[in-house]
Amino acid sequence: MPHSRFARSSFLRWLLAGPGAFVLAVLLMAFLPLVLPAGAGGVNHMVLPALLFPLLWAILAIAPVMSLDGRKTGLVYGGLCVAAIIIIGLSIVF
Amino acid sequence: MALIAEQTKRLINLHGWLAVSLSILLYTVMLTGTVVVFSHEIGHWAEGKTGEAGPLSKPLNRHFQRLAAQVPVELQEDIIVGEGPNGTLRLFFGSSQVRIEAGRGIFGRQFLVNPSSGHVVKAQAGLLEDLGTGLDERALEDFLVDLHVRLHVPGRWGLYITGTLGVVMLILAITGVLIHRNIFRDFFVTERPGDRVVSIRDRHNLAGVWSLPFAILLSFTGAFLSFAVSLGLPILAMVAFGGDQEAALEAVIGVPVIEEPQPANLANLDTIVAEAEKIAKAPITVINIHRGGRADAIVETFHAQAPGALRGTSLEFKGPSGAFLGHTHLVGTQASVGSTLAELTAPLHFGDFAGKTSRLVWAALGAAMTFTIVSGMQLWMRRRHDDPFWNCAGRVFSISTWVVPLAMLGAVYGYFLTRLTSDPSLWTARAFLLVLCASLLVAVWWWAAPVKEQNKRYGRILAVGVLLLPILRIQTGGLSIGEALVTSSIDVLFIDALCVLVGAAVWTAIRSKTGQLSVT
Repeated sequence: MPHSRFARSSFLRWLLAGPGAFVLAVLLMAFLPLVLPAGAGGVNHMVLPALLFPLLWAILAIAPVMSLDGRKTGLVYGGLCVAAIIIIGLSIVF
Repeated sequence: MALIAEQTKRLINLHGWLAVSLSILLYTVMLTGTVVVFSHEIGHWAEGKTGEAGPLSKPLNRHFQRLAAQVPVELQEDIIVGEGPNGTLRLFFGSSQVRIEAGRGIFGRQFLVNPSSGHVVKAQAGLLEDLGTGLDERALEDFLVDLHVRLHVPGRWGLYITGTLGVVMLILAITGVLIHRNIFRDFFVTERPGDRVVSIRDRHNLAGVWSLPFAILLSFTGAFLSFAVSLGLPILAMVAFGGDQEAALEAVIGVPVIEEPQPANLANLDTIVAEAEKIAKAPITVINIHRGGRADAIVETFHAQAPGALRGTSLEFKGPSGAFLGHTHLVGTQASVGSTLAELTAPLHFGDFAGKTSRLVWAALGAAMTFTIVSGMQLWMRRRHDDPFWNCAGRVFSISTWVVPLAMLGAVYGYFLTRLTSDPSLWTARAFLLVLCASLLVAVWWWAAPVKEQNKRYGRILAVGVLLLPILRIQTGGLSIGEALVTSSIDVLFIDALCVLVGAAVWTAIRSKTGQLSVT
C-alpha cells in the first residue's frame, strides 16, 4: 500500500526522532516511578527510570527513522505523550 | 534483521549526519576519556611526591579533638577529615544551616594541619565549595576529569552536553550495527591498499566493529552518569516529591532519621579508622562526620578499592560509641537491584575495576573509538571531496583533531610551569584556553598550506611536546627516574613511559602516514 506523502516526509521523522524522542523519553522517565515496584531497598522505582533514560532516548530516536509509516509512529508517540502527561498530572494532584 | 533499502538509507543518513554535526565534541569527549582512564596515575605522576604514607594513615584523633573544641557546635553539622595539600591533614567543620552573604552552601572553618606535629599550617573560613580541597597537586587530574565530564562548561549545562553526546554515541553504535551487513567479517577485515574510499571504509569498519560493545557500554554508562543528578533527580523530585529536591535526595541517598540532639563526645577516631580499615580491607580516603557533637552523630568512612573489588566501599559507625553500623549504599539504605546497578556504572565507565590491566584495555578501546570518529569523518569528507563546503569542513575537523590534544598538552605545561610559584589550579585551565586560542590563530595562519603539510607541522609540535613532558616534570620539582625507581613510584614511571611511547608513535605516524591522517 503506498504511503502518503505526509507519512514519508523527512520533517515529520526529524520531529519525532529529534525533539519528540527527547520529550517522550523524559515523560517516560517521569512516568516509570509511578508503575515500577520500589523493591526491598525502596529505591528501584527511582533508580531504574534514570538508568533506562539514555536507552529510551536512543531507541525512541531510532524508531521513527526505521518506521515504514511515519504517521503511525507519530500517533503512537503522541498517544504515549498524552497518556504519560495525564497519569503524571493525576499523581501530582492526588 | 533484514532492512529494506529505504530504511537502510535513512539509518545511514542518521548515522552520518548525527556524527558529522557533533564530530568535534564527540572527538573531544572520547579523546579526553581515553586520557582520563589514567587520571589517578596522572595525578600521582604530577604530584611529584615519593610513595610516603598519607596523613590519614597517622594518628589523627588528638588533632581532631583539639580543633573540634575550638569550633562552635553549630559548625559541626558536617565535618570532613581528609588529605590536604603537601601531606597536610585537612579538617573542615561546617553547616548548611548557616546563611551568609556569600551565598548558599555549606559554610565553615577549614584547618590544614601537620599530621605529625599537630601544627596548624593554614586556617580559613568560607563556603566549602570555595575553600575546596586545597590540593593544588591534583589540579591537573581534576582539570582533565572535568574536561571529560563536563567539557569545562560550568554547572549542569556541561553535564547536559556530555550526557547528550553519550546518547548520540549510543545511537551511532546501534545504527552502526543495523546498517552493517557483514559485521562478523569486519572483525578480520584488512585495509585495502591505495588510500582510496574503500580503504578508509575498511579502516572505519574495523575500528568501529572492535570497539562496538565498548562503545555501547561507555556511551550508556556515561550518559547515565551525566544525566542521573542533572536531569533525573529534578524530574523524579517533581513527580514523586512535589518538586522537593532535598526530600528526593534524602530518599535516594537514605539519610538516617534518628533524632538525638543532646550533646555527646565523639568516640576515638583512631579506633574507628583502625576498625574501618580492617572491615573494608582497604585504606581510608576520606571521613565524613554527620551531626558532630550530638548523640546521633554518624561517622562515615570512604575507602579505596580492596584487592579484587569492583569499587571502593563506605562504612558507617555510630559517633559516640564508635559501633559499626554497616556498609552504606550508593542509593538508599539497603541493598537493592537499583543501587547495585548504579554502583556498577562508574567502574564500568572508568575501567578501574582490575587495576592497570583493565585501564589499559579501556584506554586501548577508547583510542579505537576515537579513531572510529576520525575515520568516519575521513570517509564522509572523502566522498564529498569535490564540494567546496565539505572540503572546508574537512579542514576544520582535521585542524580540530590536532588542536584539542595540543590544548590538553598546553594544560599539562601550564600546570608544571606554575606549580612551584603560582596557582596551578587556575593556570592549568588558563593554559588550556590560551593554547586552544593560539592553535586556532596558527590554524588561520596556516590555512593556505596543504593539509598534509599542516598535519606534519601539528604532529611534530605534539610529538616533541609530549616527549619533553618527563623532562619538564623532573625540572619542576618532580621525582627523578632514580628516585621513582628507589621509592617504587610505579605511576610516575608508567606515565613517563607512556609519554615517550605516545610521542614516538605520533612522530612515526607523521613520518610514515601523513596522507592517512588527512581528513580531506
